[in-house]
Amino acid sequence: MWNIVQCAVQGKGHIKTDIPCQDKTFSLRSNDVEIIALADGAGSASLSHFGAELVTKKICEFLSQKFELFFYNSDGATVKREIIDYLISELENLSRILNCTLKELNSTLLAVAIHDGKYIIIHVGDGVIGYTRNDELKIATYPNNGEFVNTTVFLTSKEAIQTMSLMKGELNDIDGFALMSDGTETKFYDKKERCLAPALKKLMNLSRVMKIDCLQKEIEKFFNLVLRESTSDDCSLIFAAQEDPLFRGYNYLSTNQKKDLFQLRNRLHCKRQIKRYDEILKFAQEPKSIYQISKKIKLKQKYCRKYIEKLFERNLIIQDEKGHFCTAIVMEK
Amino acid sequence: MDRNMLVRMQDLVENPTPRVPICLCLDTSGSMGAVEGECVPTGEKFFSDGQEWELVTGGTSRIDELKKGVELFYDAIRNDEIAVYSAEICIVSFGSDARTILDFANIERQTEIPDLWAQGDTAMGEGVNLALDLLERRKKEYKDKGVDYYQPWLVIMTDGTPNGNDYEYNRAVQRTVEMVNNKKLTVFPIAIGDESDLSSLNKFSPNRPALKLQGLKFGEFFSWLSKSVSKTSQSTPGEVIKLDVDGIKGWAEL
Repeated sequence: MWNIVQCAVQGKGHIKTDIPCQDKTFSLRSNDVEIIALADGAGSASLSHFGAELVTKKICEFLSQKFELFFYNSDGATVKREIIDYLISELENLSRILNCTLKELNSTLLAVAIHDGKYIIIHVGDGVIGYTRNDELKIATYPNNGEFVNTTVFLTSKEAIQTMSLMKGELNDIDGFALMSDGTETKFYDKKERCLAPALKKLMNLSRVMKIDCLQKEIEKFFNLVLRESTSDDCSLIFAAQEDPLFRGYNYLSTNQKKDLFQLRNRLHCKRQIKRYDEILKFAQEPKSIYQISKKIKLKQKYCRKYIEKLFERNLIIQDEKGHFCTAIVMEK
Repeated sequence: MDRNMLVRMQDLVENPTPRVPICLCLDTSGSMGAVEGECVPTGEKFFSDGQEWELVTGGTSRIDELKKGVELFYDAIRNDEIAVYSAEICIVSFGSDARTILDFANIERQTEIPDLWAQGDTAMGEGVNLALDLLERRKKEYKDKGVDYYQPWLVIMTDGTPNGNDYEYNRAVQRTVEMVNNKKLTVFPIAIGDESDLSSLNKFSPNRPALKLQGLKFGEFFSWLSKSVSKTSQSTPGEVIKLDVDGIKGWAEL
């Protein structure tokens, strides 16, 4: 089972010029195939957000239907041609509906499909595709920017098929894939060292223990508050991380595991502290204020805050827009 | 408790800001000493830069206005919160020979613009070749350090006809035209004064005709240039490019 998390935010530059977010992500689970996709609309193309939205949806549908056929076809050039032709044909249909040229719908495309212990990767244009294997974060495909940072290859470019990356293989120990747009690269991809930021692995690991909707909200908050300040471009990220079969929920963690989680190994009275953490997490499964929590665990607010701080630190609890706290870790699968 | 603990800053990367390398290739030949505005003839005449001139007092010379314009450009870049981190400027002058007045560096380190003196002939070809060499060298430095960059800019400003080495002039034209046609360079050819030869400037720019500066409005031009730098620094991918590729490849595997 794969946990999928995705996020796309409008860049400062597009907010200023009133252009919608041109980064789109999509995921699909169909015919036992898990697919994630990301597309970054061309900056100069006025309707590229429609193009990006279409190609992410269509590539997921296409790969869910054709996974086995593509995987067992040793002629990569033919597979590339079929994918490009299909997407162009879909874009042409859309251009007729919107009464625009194909170029106005231009975008890049990144996609990963997973089925029965196998994967297929597709990449046209900039952005990065990473993966995790044995707790190591690696890169599958690199950005295709050409010489200048504001140029790249798009799906409708005549260079699309020549420069497209197409990969397949057995998963073996691969347990996560991540796709990011060039806006997200600013903080998540080191261009000199050509490696991914450790933060990405952390997010993928968190998806194995955190409630997905909570993690998604926190990632969006991070993108809006932090990532957007470092670039004027739209930023997007989508990843799929395989569930950890050993983690059945917070309620099933042993006392020793909780001691490690809360860094209480050498502390006295840790059983009482763990009991308080248990109570808070159980109580805050629905959003609660600090007053309500301190009343529940019978502790003054100023001491209750210290517990909340620790839970925050460990990403076990989040704070909503109203300032209420909500349990973010999965209590029971 | 309004803070985001999800990702620590030390777990993220810091990439250098993509750069816009700009070379100002400036005519500092004798004719740039020409004066406009209220001036008084002294009655003396002299020959310089291929023509005869009348010595005057008062007025404002082209070279002084040019220097003010360059200083205004630097100030505008420093005051632009986006361009200040992306623009990198070098200045080349051409009179009887071509010189690097100010090499590429972070704009914060270029605190003083050296004086410009009007003297000698108009070795335009030599100046443009030097400018192109400096731009290429800077791009290589960016590549070596993993710094992204935008298409470089070459601003050529002259008030006369090139009278340097013909071979150097033709070589400069050929190099510039090739780069512009391959979308590797943006050229801004600017003609100053009434004696400028637009046709020789136009040869450097197949896509954009040379512009004639209105009077000595260097300030207006450099103000526009600084705004253009800021806009470029915020641009996102939107153009098709030609890439060196080996043809369609088959499958690859992790």
